[in-house]
Amino acid sequence: MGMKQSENIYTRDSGSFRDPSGQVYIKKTSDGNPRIIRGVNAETYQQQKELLACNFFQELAKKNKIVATAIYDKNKIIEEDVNLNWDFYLEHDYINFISYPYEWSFYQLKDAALLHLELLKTSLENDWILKDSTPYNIQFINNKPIFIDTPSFIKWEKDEGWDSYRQFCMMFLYPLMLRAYLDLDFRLNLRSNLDGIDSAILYKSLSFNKLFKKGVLSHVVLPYLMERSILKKERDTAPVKEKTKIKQSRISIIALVDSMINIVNKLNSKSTISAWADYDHINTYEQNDNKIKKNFIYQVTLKKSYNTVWDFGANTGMFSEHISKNVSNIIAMDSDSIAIGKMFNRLKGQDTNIYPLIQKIENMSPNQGFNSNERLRLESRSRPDLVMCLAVIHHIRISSNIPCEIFLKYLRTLDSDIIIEFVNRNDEMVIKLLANKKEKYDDYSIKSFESSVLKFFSIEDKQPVKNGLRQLYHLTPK
Amino acid sequence: MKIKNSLLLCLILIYSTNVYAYIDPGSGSALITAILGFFAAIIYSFKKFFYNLKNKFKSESKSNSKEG
Repeated sequence: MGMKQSENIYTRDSGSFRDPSGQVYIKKTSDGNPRIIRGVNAETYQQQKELLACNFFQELAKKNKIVATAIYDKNKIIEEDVNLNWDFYLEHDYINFISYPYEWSFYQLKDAALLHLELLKTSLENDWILKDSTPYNIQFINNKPIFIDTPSFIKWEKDEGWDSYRQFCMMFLYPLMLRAYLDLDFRLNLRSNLDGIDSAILYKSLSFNKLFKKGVLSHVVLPYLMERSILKKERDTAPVKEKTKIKQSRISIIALVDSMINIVNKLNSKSTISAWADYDHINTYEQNDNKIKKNFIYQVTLKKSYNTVWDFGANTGMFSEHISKNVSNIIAMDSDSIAIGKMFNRLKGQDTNIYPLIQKIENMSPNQGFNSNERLRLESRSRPDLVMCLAVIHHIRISSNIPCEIFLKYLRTLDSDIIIEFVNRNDEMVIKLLANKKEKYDDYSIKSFESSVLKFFSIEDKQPVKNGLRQLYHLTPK
Repeated sequence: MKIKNSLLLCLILIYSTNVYAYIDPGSGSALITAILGFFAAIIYSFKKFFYNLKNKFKSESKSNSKEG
């Protein structure tokens, strides 16, 4: 129908449109390994070309701190008959899975912040600077942060300051301080406000003695008072005033960045109390039952080759680790940020294919941002071919009041194999959950569970655990 | 009277939400980074100075002990 190939080969990344200097496309290739192609304007291209020739940049790319980047031949775009009209193109390594800061634990955000500051300091020492300060420019490979937005690097002009300082505070520093100083979950704020946390939120939450914690007076109180006085003094109706430019020396910005590194380094999450984080030590299973469970999931992952596995309710990742060698990638999810933080800290030194991520099954990351299309739901960013739900179903049914059939229907939409563990009514954990409820959940039985399962799935294999108090299933979609 | 007052209050509330639509509260951040950068630079330079001094003493004492 005369439709150009571009519609099929190149897909515009839905989150990449705010920066006028370029646009990211995902290019499908015949070998099945997608590439990232970035269209850029002429000015950005000149700077990127210069940047690519810099030693410091190449050193950082070699250490996997910045995504591998090269110039992409414009003629190829013309040959491919692609309907793109950028002046020039760059090519990046493809990042297998994109996650967002409101899905990270404290330690993931902290590592991302430290990488950002390291890159900023190194750039300044080489006459460059980062124009943005957002964790959306950082992703994780093998649980190590990597910077993906190379056009953020721009030439540092003499007397220019750190323009994205406020953004750094809102997107990195305040969220980290919220957890470190107030033991509050920053993800709630980051998920509902994609621009980050206002200084006012932090300032108003801090008690008097906390004002003297490291970095608070200078990076929270001072900016808050300044912002408040600007809002008080200025009115929209006031005529536009010519603003005098404040000149800044390079040493003062480097020193400020350096002091920020010190502050972030010393921020730590004190939170250790969690319902789940110690689950792997104190859970009520007998060793033998755990062995049966591990063996079951191991056998399933041996039978087929699975590319992406989702582990719902992964806790600190014990079962994910058991099958990690049999599959390509695992996203190990739990709603408990402490369990995920613990898993991240344990795995980050290892060469692992397990990606710890905070997700609550009952309220997963939604499509949101501009046109509800800027930040995507998890199901649009990752397609699993195996989903594990071990010891999850009783929480779904009894704690969250989601009927098993509705949950199974959701699982069917993922179009993947499923390993699910049904926890019977007379299991002690279910008895515990039911003790707090008036509702008796009469529909919660193995019989009605199986009949719901059979509406959407075929049962490939079954295995009783804990003397029949629990039942493992391997399901394939019908 | 009551109705008048509450109408006035409503108007104030409506207008006050519009007042800041063109003001960027972040416009002061250049000044903040200038202030913080100034003090940070002093501390940074002091640290560097003492670090260099310490290194100098260390290397001198090392070369002294070698000579000795």
